Amino acid sequence: MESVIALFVPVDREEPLGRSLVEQARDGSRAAFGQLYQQYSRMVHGVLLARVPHSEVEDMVQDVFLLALRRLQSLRDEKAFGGWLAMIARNQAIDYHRKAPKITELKENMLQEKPPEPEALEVLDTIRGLPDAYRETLILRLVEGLSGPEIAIQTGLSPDSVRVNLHRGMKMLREKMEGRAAT
Amino acid sequence: MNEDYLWDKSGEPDPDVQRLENLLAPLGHKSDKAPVLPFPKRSRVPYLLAIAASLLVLSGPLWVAWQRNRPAWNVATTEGTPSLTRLAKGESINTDAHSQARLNLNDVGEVEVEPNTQLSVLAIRPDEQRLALHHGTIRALIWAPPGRFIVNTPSAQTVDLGCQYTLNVNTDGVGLVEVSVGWVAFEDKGRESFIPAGAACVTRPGKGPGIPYYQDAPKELIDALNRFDADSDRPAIAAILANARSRDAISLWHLLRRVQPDDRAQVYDRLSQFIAVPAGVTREGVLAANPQMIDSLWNTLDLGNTSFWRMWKSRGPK
Repeated sequence: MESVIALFVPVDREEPLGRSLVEQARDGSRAAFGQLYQQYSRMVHGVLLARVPHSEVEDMVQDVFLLALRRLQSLRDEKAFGGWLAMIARNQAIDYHRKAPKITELKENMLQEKPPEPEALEVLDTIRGLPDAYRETLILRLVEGLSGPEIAIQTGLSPDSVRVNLHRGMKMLREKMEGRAAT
Repeated sequence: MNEDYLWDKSGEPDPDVQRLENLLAPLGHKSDKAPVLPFPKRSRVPYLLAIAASLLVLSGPLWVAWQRNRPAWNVATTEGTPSLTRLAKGESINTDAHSQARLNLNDVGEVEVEPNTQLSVLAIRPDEQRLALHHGTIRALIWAPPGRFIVNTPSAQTVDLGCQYTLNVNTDGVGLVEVSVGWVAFEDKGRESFIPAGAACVTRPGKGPGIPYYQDAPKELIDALNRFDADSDRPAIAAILANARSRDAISLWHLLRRVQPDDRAQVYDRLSQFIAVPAGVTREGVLAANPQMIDSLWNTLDLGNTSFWRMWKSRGPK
């Protein structure tokens, strides 16, 4: 059985994201990789949540980081770490739908955790019904709590694109929710 | 809608956005959940490097001593930039267009390395000194016992039988040996050429040693021999026979062993005009390629007997 170590690393949110930590992680620093996890895990969680069932996402976040750790040597431009990681997450979501059984396994944490509010799951479904660009950005903003600039930095998208996606996505979400309320 | 709040959470909170944030936040990532990462596997590289470095340090003096005592050709630069002083087994010397060097090995001889030459040492043993001439020119003056100094070329091995000679290999791998003193044998895959002083011989990749000729032979003869060697050109046989002098019996003897059976009779007839056919040798036997009879013909040329020329064979293939 593979040995594991749990990393609890404080996060300095003011630190420039990525660059030096990526270098250290590439050189084998698990502490640096732990910091990258702390900084980017919400983004990865949001990218996955836009595509796969909520109950699967936490485990898949770990899978994405483990995969990234194995592939980190292949990352040439460390400034692109966020976009590269987001791409791994999107690909993992695609793989999930390709391979996943249709019956969802009942997991231990499902029994221990308070179930999500039905209304929250309903809104999440509505967001998932939006076009790709909007749903991912909106989930990162509304569910994961990232600001627009943080979304831009962590996903590699331009701030303008994120701003447009947030604005249009939110407008579309309002319309859908109002339409649903009206029925 | 407060765009600033949606964008960067600044300004007055937008009530709709704030309500959605509160509603959806429980679905977000549980940031207090620790990531589980593989236990870092310790790389073996640093340890291996440390071991290698230790061995290097410990073995350094031994290495230096071994290098000093290792048999090697002494190298003297006669012109240009080669900075080697010794050339041991497995090592090479390369000269550029402006460089020359002289190799010396006490009991063996001297080898001058001309410009634009690449030469390697394949073996340094009491019973065999073997070099490889990849391209370029060497001039060898060998005083080692016959058969111990050998130079590999891309298409044949040159066996010194006590002599002085020049060996050139061009960029196509074609070799040319010109013998000044003594005797040299070319051999490749059983094809052999005996080259006495004053003679030369070409060896070609894929074809092996050609037919030796005296360097003062008529140009028409040399040209015809080259055509025969390069292309097995049958019409060249007539030109060879027509232009051969008595002294060129050495070329005819080699030709006798390489022509097709149908052409053997005319070559034998021409050769027999220049030599005294020894007793026991018959025309029929030679035409049937009897090896003893053909060797007997060589022995009438006053160039030593064939067993002397073939002394490298006792070494086996290299």
